[in-house]
This record gives sequence, structure tokens and C-alpha cells, in this order.
Amino acid sequence: MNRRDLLKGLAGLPILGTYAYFFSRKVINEKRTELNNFQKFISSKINISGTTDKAIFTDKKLRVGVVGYGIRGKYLMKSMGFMTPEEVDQLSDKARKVFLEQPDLNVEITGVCDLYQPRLEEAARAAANIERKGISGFSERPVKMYRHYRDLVTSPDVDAVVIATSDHWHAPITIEAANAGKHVYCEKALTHSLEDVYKVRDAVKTNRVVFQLGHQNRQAENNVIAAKVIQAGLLGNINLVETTTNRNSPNGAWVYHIPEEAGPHNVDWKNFLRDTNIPFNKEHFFRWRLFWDYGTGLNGDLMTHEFDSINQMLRMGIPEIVTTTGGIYHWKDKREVPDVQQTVMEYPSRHFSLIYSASLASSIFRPKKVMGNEAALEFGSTLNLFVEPSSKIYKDYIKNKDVIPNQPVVITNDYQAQIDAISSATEKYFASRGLLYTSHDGKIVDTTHLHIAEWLNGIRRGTPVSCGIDEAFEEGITAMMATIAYREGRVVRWDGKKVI
Amino acid sequence: MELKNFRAVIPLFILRTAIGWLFLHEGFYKLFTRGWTAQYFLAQSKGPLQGFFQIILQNEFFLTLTNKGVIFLLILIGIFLVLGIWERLAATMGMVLLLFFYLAYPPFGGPSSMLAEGNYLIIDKNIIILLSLWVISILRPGQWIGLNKIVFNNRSNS
Repeated sequence: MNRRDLLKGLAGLPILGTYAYFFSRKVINEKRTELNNFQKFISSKINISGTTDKAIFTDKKLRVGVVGYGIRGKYLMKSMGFMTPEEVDQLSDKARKVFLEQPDLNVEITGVCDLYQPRLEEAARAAANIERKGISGFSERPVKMYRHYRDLVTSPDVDAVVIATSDHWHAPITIEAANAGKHVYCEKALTHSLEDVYKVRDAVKTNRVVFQLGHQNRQAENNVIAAKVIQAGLLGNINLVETTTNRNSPNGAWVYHIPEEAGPHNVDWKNFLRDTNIPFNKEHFFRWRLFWDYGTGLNGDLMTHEFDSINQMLRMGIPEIVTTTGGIYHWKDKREVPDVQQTVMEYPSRHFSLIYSASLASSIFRPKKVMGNEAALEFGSTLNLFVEPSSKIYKDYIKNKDVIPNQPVVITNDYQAQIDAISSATEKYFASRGLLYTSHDGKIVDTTHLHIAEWLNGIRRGTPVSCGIDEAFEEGITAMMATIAYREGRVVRWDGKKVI
Repeated sequence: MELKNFRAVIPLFILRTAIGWLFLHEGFYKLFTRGWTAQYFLAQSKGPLQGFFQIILQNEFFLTLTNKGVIFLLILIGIFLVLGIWERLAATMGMVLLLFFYLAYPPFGGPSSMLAEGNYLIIDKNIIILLSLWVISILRPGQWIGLNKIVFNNRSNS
């Protein structure tokens, strides 16, 4: 072979080299130009760190009792790593992988309680499935089933209690658990009545137990970073916050399935009632959110999440003035609670208004917005910052074209709303609120799991919880003010100590 | 097929190199993009392969295999075409890959994306590249310019 042939044969090599040169230059340039001055300014203010506090699972096993195994109770058990073998089998490959990879919290469910016998048995079966197996690998083990919560919270086998009952039982169970020295994770809303808010706070504080309220939005990356943006003063003077609920499906409007086999023989109706005395009613038992005797409507179920996420960012506490209007405008069933509602919360001494607006009969997506005179934040599947054209803080960046006013700047790109494992409309609504999943270091994580892990760390090591009793008290009072405002048709005020 | 003179080889060599570069870069770009996945491409497919893609999406193993396989094939085909070695094999693999890309979003007259850079009906750029690879697989310019010439030394002094 002569030199000419060799050159022809190797003609491709310099081309490969040229490609390698240009590609590496491109990669380096992209790294270098990743952030302009405006972006550098923002990220220096919010200091996004990639590391998250790791939960501690090595201490001795904590023994948890679960009261209530409805929709939410089931979800909480799953977030702790417990599902019935039947449900494990029904998971899609992807969902099963997420479930199996969920870290072991080193807890044991030593007792379950529910007023509906089939659910009680199901809860025990889930609690027994410590190996997270399907039917073929499942081995039975006994789990104590309690018919009355009092026996569970006072049992010496239980160190901590997870409460996921109807709203009207949250307070009595929390108080009795705290009095028995048990730590409590309680679902929102904190209570069903105003006086209970004070009683719960006192019981938790006097007994020095670790309390966490079920606002898992505290763990969502979007919320955590938004809080940093706001607390760094990047929005200027915040004067208006707009937050919403939009759902449009029977499930989203709390028209839950009523099992045909349910009846007085397997529903403990007597213990379901608290201060009332009405005859057995299946609809009341399974769709309790529709009735004032057991629930607090939008206020307790969904406004509390919105309020708490704003409280997480602004730390503004209880509003001074609350009004609520609305009505039953679409779901003309037997419900008593409104399906369309506007609650306005005023903070005159902090110079801003918080508006909550909800419809259970339209699912259009209305992102949450925090508005300041320098910039605004919008919460969609991404967290967007909009700089004001007249901004003073950003004047130079606007002049240098590092940022264009009123155009969205993406702060974080949370995966929570994109996950394709999500199917139902209600789930999509929750996901967009950071109530289902968040991304931690690029991995999709269940926010409820993180919220429970934080509570368990608090019990084991005394580390702080993000929605403890003080935050819960503010949520509880605010939710009750909104309920009173609607039911009594009046303006409700907070004088710093009590509701007037 | 025989190429009659060396002048005809030059444009074919350039064409092969250009297509190889395209494949190579698609592969490397995906390799270096953190979190790149074929998931969204597959999920939004509306063509005749929709059902097949859904099966891949349902299964974690298949999806990982697809993600890794696409990157591996793109880079491999790219290197072979640039170097001019095993070009018939590389061109054939490239054609198969392009057929998948084409059928995933076939331009059969449905409403096209407003943001697409052009508008296509039945023939799109994937098909043009596919046809170019066909030409290369038949004429094999690597016999004149490319590693094929050295490795197999099957056509000296032409």
C-alpha cells in the first residue's frame, strides 16, 4: 500500500478529531454561558444547595399506630412503606419501582384503627406486609386491630400516632394521644371547631410531644425555593397573593364511592358521631366532607394547603380580617358545604391581601401568584419569576438585557407536575400543588414520605419539623375563621389572641 | 455497484461524512445531556408505532434499553460512517433507526406543529437521509476513501 492509499484510508480520522474539538468547545461554552449576571444575582440570593438532610433510620424501630384508613390513611401507610399485597400486585412496573426504592423509615405499624370493618382488616393486612411483597411473597403476621382510637393511643405498644380520620375527630385523638405521651402526625385540617384549636395546641405543648401537621407541600422543592426567593426580598413589597383550587370531577368534589356491603353491621356509626345524634347514614359516613357535622368543606380540605404553602413562604401567620363567600352552585346533591368559594384574608399591618378562590366544577389551571412591586412569582409546573418593568432592584439587569420585564424566568423545573404515573384529574391537581411528588437531586420523591421522615427524625433526634404545632395553630385558626365567615355570613377578625 | 471514476467518489465521501457527523453529534449530545430520555418522544408519538412505544414506556427495563441503545447506535453509526468502515452495516442500521424516527411522527397530512422548522407531507428530512444512506450502502465510497480501504485492502490504486 502506498502513501496515497494510506491517506485515503485514514481520511475520516481528522474529521473525527475536528468533531471532538468542536464538541468539547461547545460543551465548555455552554457551561460558561449558563448563567448571565441576572441569573447569578438570583442564585446567589437563594443559595440553592444540592444536598438535602438525610433522614435517620438507624435508631431503634419506632412503633406507629394508624387511626383512619380511608383515602388519606392508605396514602400515609404507603408513604411509610406499607401496602396490601393485592395493591402491590396492582402497581405498574414504574410505580412498584418507586415504591420499592422508597427508603425504609424503620417503623413498625403496631396498631390500626378504623370504624369500617373491611377497611380495618385491609389496614392490618397492609401493616403486616413488612417486606413490600405481592400476594405470592406475602407472609401473614398479626397486627392489632382497634375498634376505638382511645385503646390505640393509650396502648403501650404504640410510640407515635398517625391520624387520618374525618376532620371532626382530629382534635380529640390528638389531645388524647398527646396526653398519653404519644407523638402525633395529624392530617389537615387541624380541627373542626375553634375551641379545639387552642386545646390541641395546649395538649401538644404541655406534653412536649413532636407534632407534625399533614401539609406535605412544605417538602416540595418549588415551595422551598420560592420561600427563599421571597425571604431574600427579591419580590419587593408583596401586596397581593392569589391562590386557587380548581377541580371538576365527582372524586375531586368529594363524591366518593359508597361500598354496597356497608351497613350498620360493619360501620361503627355510634363512634363516628361526635356531638350529634342522627340515625345511621351511609352517605354521611363515606362522604363526610360534604357535611358540616364532620368536615369543614374547602376550608379544611384544600384552602389549608394553600394557606400553609403561603405561610411557609411569607411566615405571615393568622390574618387580621377574613371574609368568605360562595355557594353550592354546581353539585346539587345533598351537600351542605360550598363548591365555589372565595376567601379573602387581609393583613393590614403587613400591607397585603391573600385571596383564595376555588371551584369544584371547573378544572382550568390557575397558577398561584405572589405579587410584589419589584417582581412576581408564579407557581406552575415550573416556578417563574416576572420582573416589573419599573423595578429598581433589577434596573441594571433590565438595561443590560440580562432579563426582559414581564417575561417568565424559570427558577426551578420541578418534575412534580410532569410525572406520567399520574392519571386522575384530582391527582394532577395535587401534583401541580407539590402535594404528591417533588424532585430531590433530580429524583422523583413522594412529598408525604419526606414529611413523615422529617417527623420521625424529630422524634428520634429532636430535629425541627417544618409544620409543627405553631404553624398548625395558625392554620387551624385561619381555617376556622374562614368557615365561621361563610357559615355566619360575616366579617371575622383576629385580635392577636382570639377570634371576634 | 462499481463507481466509474474517482471524481464521483468525492461527493459521496462528503455526503457519508456529513451524515456520520450528524449521527455522531445526535448521539454525543444525548449522552452529555443530563437526564435525557426518549420517554417524551415515545409518549407523544401518534403514528403506527404508538402501541409498540407504549409497551416500551410501561416497562422500566425496555425504556432503559431504548435510551442506552439509541445513544449507542447513533454514536456507533456516526463513527463508522465518518471513518468509512463497515459502511453497509452502518448505513443499514441508520436506515432502520431513521425509519423508527419517521414512523414515530409520520408527516401523513395531520396538523403539524406550529413550531416545526418546516412543513412536510409524506417526505420529510428523515426520509431524505434514509435514501442517502441507501445510496451509500450500495455505492460504498469507503472502498476508495475510508478505513475500509486499509482494513480490507480490496481496491488499491484505483
